Amino acid sequence: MNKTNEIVKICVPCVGDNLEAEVDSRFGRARGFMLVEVKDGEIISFKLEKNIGAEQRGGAGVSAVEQISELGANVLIAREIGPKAQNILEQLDIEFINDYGTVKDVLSRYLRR
Amino acid sequence: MKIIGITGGKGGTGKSTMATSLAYSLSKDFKVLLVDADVDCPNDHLLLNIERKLFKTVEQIIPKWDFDKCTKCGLCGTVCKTKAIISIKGKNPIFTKEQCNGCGACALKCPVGAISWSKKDIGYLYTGSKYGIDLLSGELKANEPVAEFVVNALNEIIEKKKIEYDYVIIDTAAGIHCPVIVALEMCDKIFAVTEPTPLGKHDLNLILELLKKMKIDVHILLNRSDIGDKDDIYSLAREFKSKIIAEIPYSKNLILDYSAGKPIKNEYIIKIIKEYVQ
Repeated sequence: MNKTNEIVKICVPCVGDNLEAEVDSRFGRARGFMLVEVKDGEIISFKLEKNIGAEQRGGAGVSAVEQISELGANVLIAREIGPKAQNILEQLDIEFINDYGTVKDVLSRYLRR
Repeated sequence: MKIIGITGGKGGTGKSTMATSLAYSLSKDFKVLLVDADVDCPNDHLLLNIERKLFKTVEQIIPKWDFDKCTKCGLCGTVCKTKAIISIKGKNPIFTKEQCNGCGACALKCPVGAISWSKKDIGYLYTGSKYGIDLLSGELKANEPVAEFVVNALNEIIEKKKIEYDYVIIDTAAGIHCPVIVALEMCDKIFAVTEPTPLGKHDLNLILELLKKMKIDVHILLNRSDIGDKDDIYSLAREFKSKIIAEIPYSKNLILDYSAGKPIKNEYIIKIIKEYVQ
């Protein structure tokens, strides 16, 4: 259970525009990123951000990490990420959690940890 | 000494088959260097069953940061077009070397001179010999972005060694992109291999356009000449004022030899040599 008073920002790549949306099976070329703020075990806000690097030629995973880091993400919950993205997440201290389902599902599992 | 390029645009038309076969026939009377410039997927050593030995590793420059000097301004990341540099405000830049194409923009942009140079391996050059043919084979390391650097490295060797040979035969990759262009730049004469199909015609058009721009003379080899409509290829050749110097019919025996790694000894190819190469 997330008991801290701090706000934690979680990124979940998704295929829709609300919390019922499915987690995208990809990260680097996901359609969008749901940025969710949680505090004291509860969701306090959420916003969908378009994945700006989705169509680029190569290194989409690298761009995606850059984008979510600039958006302030502390945690990434995704189905799968590539080795380049993984390496950079580690260097930026962004926690990676492997999970899938709907955005709502993965968030509730996160909050119950 | 002549440098002959074998290209065609379309993949699988028989470039490597022609290149190895030409090399094999010429080597009876002449000193031949066969260069496999299809560095994404070199096959000539397989067609001739030649064991390759590593001759040289091809390197490319990559940036190296002095993090004591780095002010974390993020400017290097802004000029990197291949996403090899991630600059997050307040953090040292993060470098992904597989993405780097060695352009050097980051070092130029850095306002405090924190970037100097290191290297990464991007490919390999191999040599081998058989049937009196010397083979120079280039191979790109998987996932590296700039194949033409490996072709450039092959060209440097060709420039040095060509004096020792009567003929240099360069087998290019399929397509019309940089690695093909860099390979063709060395050539005095080009043979474009095609087939009598709509795909063959389409891709031949592209390679003929390219060669027109490069101002290199090209002759056309019509391979598997009996499998489709030849007229389309003939009309295209006329349009570009290029000559079809041979029609090579489909031959199952040729394909069986190719699959078995036996050199192709084909009467049509021998005829080409006598008339157009020598």
